[in-house]
Amino acid sequence: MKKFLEIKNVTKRFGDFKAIDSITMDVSQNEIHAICGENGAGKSTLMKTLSGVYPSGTYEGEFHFEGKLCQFKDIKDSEKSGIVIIHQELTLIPELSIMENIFLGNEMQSGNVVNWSEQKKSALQLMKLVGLTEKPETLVVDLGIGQQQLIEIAKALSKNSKILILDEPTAALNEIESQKLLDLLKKLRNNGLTAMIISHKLNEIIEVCDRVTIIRDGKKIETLDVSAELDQGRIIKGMVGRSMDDIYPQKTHSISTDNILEVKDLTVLNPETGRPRLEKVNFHLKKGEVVGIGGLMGAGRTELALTIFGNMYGKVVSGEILVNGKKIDFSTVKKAMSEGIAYVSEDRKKYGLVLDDTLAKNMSLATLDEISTRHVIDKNQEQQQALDYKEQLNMRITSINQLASSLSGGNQQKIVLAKWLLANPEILILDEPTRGIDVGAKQEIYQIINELSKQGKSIILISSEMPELIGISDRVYVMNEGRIIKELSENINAEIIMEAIVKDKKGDL
Amino acid sequence: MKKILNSSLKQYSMLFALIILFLAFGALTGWVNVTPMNISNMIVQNAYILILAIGMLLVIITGNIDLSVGSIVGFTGAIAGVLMINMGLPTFLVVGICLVVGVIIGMFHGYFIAYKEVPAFIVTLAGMMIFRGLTMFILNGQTLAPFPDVFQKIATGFVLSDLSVGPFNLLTIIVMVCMTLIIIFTEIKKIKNSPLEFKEPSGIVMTRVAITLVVLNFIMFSLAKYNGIPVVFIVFIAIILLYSFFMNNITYGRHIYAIGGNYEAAEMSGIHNKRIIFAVYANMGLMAALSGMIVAARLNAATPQAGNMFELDAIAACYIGGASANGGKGTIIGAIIGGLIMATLNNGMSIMGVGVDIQQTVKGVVLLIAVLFDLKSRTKKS
Amino acid sequence: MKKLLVSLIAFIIVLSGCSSGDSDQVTIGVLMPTQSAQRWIQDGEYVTELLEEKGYAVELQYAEDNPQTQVSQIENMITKGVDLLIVAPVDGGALTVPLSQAASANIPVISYDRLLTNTDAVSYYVTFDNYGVGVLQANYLVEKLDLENSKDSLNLEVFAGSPDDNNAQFFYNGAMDTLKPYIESGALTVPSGQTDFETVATLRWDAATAQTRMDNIITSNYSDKKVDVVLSPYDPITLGVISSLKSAGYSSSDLPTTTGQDADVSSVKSIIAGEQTMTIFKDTRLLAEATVDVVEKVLNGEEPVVNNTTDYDNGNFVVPTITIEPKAVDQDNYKETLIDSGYYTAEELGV
Repeated sequence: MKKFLEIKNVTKRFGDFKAIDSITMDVSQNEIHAICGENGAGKSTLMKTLSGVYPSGTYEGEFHFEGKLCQFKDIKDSEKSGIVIIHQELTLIPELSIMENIFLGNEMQSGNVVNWSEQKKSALQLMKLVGLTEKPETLVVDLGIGQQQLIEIAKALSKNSKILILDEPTAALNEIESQKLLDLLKKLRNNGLTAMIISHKLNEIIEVCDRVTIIRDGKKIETLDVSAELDQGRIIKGMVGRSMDDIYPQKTHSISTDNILEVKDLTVLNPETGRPRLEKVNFHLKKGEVVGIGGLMGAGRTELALTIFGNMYGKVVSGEILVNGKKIDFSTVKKAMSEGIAYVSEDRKKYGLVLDDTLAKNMSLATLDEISTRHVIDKNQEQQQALDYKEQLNMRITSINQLASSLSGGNQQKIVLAKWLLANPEILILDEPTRGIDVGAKQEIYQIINELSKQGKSIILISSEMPELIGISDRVYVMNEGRIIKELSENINAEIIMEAIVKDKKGDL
Repeated sequence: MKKILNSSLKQYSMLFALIILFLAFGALTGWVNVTPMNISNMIVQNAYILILAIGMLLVIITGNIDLSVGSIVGFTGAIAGVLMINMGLPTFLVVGICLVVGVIIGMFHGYFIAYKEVPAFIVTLAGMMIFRGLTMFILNGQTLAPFPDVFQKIATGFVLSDLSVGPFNLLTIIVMVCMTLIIIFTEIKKIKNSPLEFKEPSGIVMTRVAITLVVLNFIMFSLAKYNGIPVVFIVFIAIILLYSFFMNNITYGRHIYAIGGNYEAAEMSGIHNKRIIFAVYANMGLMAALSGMIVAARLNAATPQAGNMFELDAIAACYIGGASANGGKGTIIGAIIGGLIMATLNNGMSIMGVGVDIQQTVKGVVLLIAVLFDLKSRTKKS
Repeated sequence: MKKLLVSLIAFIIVLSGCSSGDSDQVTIGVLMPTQSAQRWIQDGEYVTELLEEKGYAVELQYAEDNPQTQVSQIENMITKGVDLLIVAPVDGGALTVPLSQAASANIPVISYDRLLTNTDAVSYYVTFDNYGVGVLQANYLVEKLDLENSKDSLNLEVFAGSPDDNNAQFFYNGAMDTLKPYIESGALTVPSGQTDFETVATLRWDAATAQTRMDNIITSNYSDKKVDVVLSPYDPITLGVISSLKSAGYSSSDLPTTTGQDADVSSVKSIIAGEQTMTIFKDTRLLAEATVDVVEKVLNGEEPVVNNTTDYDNGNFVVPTITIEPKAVDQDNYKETLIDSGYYTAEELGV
């Protein structure tokens, strides 16, 4: 195979710290090449260096693309040569149409006037290629995240990209959407596309990629050919520098027979449309139990959690919530908290952290009253408890007084977790707790869940990752379109869950 | 270690800037600006802006803005004028009424901003027009004067100014000595009690304490040589101490920072965001009314133009002092230093005889530079 | 940061032109209300010029119509050690605090054009005879229209100045006291019936406000008659009234007789064109000269000559006042009064 892209001895420093350290690797034409590594290993830095986010001259070493030396000044420059990056956070403009987003900044013009008919024709072509069936005039705000991801790809393709760099493309997608995206990538490869993918989802890498390069601590560890024989354990070993036989710990839950939480006939309206978002939801949770809730993105799982946690979603029209058999008032977060409920959001940056505050302050935010006498905060206690949790949750941080914005995803998640553990909740709702964090941190979070359950705490785990759901939960509910459609207590397996989701699903991806 | 050093230096760079600026003007004006009389004047000339800046800082930390404060200053002053001068009600009763009126106006704004979710810019812009209009209406476009003597004392009086030893005011000297001792003892206590993570290198602590003491003692010494401690100075210092403690050590202060830092995350942490924002505006109203009383007492008149454009000075003080326009960041001391930088510029240029036109221009440039500097140091850090 | 500071200070020095005078020179602080009006800039310049000719150093500052700013400016001047203050206040009642500071520092204060009220700390007041301005306007009308002997009744409309300016009241009183007998005798009628000060006042001396009021008066009272006379205290108000009349169909030949004040360029042009009838010329140079005269006398320990010790009560006492007589200007005498005296050039007036 001809070397299409060559990376030679590239080093990028931030101060004294080498984010990537003399990496040498290559990508062949018509290949899908995965980059694997724990969070903070240097994957994103490598991609940013490659795509001109860090301009030529700010790093050491060289890139050769199609045999030519690359010296990009900015992203525009790299896009011109055909290297296009799709970031993890999508960059679409919600109030513009699909078509406008695809050609944003790149409009098809005759003179200085946008040529709409031409643009629409091209848009339709690209949309067909990526499998989007909506009208090109549809506003992005009306689309799901899976479809938005497809638009990003269409947008990249419209720029005549020769190499597509995808940063965690399936992180926000559910199983079906992910599968669809992977199929699309395979199809595009057959049409001649070359791609680099950063991903934590090893099963996906094995399914779609030709080769995988593993990075640890800024250094390249190895490049492996992907074949049917390559198993996840091999990749993980490279990533963490140790082998992990089973990332899910042995369940040591002590489940009592009493229900700690019961939700009865809960119906909630969507605050924007006024239509029911949750319909007659019934479920229960036993003391010491870990209950998983599976389903597609948008099935209503987060909305259910938000409603239980202080009526933070929409208008409750019927139903009640019982804790320890007693009906509770869940009209505000404060009241839900006083019933021993805590909720760790799926979007930790938006709902979990004050990024410009210190870690210690973030951890104490929900429980300030407990370290205060007459509203005066005991700062020594605040520091002490932060130090305790730093130990307990094995946070890799330099100081509890550094800012939350300086942490990687896994450590940020631990901060949010610590914040809610400080509230000493009886019922802990975890919404996608391992999204976008590396394997090592994931395993630690699973152990924490296990430990809590052993202590008699009850946990609701909302997850889109099937193995996680199965590996951690004692029981699983499956939700779809605002309703609970299946309960699995024994013999939980991926096929049954998948079947429940697919059978009930009407259209829409 | 290096990090701590950097953050400490950054925290004090504004104070250094202030001191250098003050000395530079000293050199330019033949040291007229360091005379006891001028120090005393500077305090009295700026106390009301600094008090507004404290209220404004809280508003800015929540990520909002208040454009109405200048009008509230004028409005409460006008009410004081009508009640005291035209109706002859007792001074302290009227001051009380005006402070309550300020709180009610603040609550009026806060209600629309917090509970009806109308953008703060719009609500307070409306408030700015409404209360300026009502001020002119109440005063009938005319100036009411003079206020009773007791009232004037708020802005112009000195505490126990006739008790002196030699050329020095006795009370001021006593306060000066006590303050110095208190600062030294609390610092020592702080070093002893703080856990390891908190510890600052002793060199920095020493420098900081030394600078603080030099500045404070210089101010107090100047006051002692002039008429003693102005009444507004006491009000002002009390407010600084109270609000610094509130923002640093009280749960609600922390809530204010959290709301500005991340509204959703604060809400999800069980904080009653709306109640807090409502309260922050009510407080702003209180500060504006207090400032209104001081301005009215200082002018010894209720005038329709009182407080015009004060909001802009208060906002500028907060930004120069390191508050972030996006909310979540800023300190009381920072806002005060920001305000004092503006005050030093005003005072220095005024003494030099620079016109108001040029003064405005310079202040605008300083605002821009300060914010740029702040942004730059912030991006460097991350 | 240091670099920034250094450059900033350099910037301030350059802008300020580094104005530090000799320390043994006698310094006069001059405070004017605003730089946003031509009139005060001229006043500031004349006073400065004359004082410097006499060998005094001058500190001139404008307060941009902000009373708080003016308070601080006075305090800073006292700190700096000026020997005498000339103050044209933004708000006469709002300066009691810094003025008492001046008094305790033994700095004499001269109230310039506008009266400083509610304070003892004023030595003298130099002003135009504002009551006299009104009288002059009214007498001009009496003579011009021959009201003593006229048989028909003429239609009069009255405008006054801003209610928050105490001079407005003087103008109004001067004029109305003089016209009253003719209104009573029927030589003048006011069809709109609007004559008391509150009703005819024009907030902020605003021309547009006056124009709107005139529009409304014409619409509701003049469907079958003509406006013969308009008493206006101030040139811009007069011009506003004339625009209103023109849009109601009056032409330069049948415009009413109008008064004005200040001899603004645009009004003088209007007089030359035969639209506005007259204006009152207050030569600010005379005011400046009189003021400088008082300054010299006060600093030399002499008594200045005062011509009014009864009318100008500032709330605390009757301030000794030097009043300057204004002059009426119309088509017949504008050349000698305005051009020959050097106040305007012929080009400025377009003749």
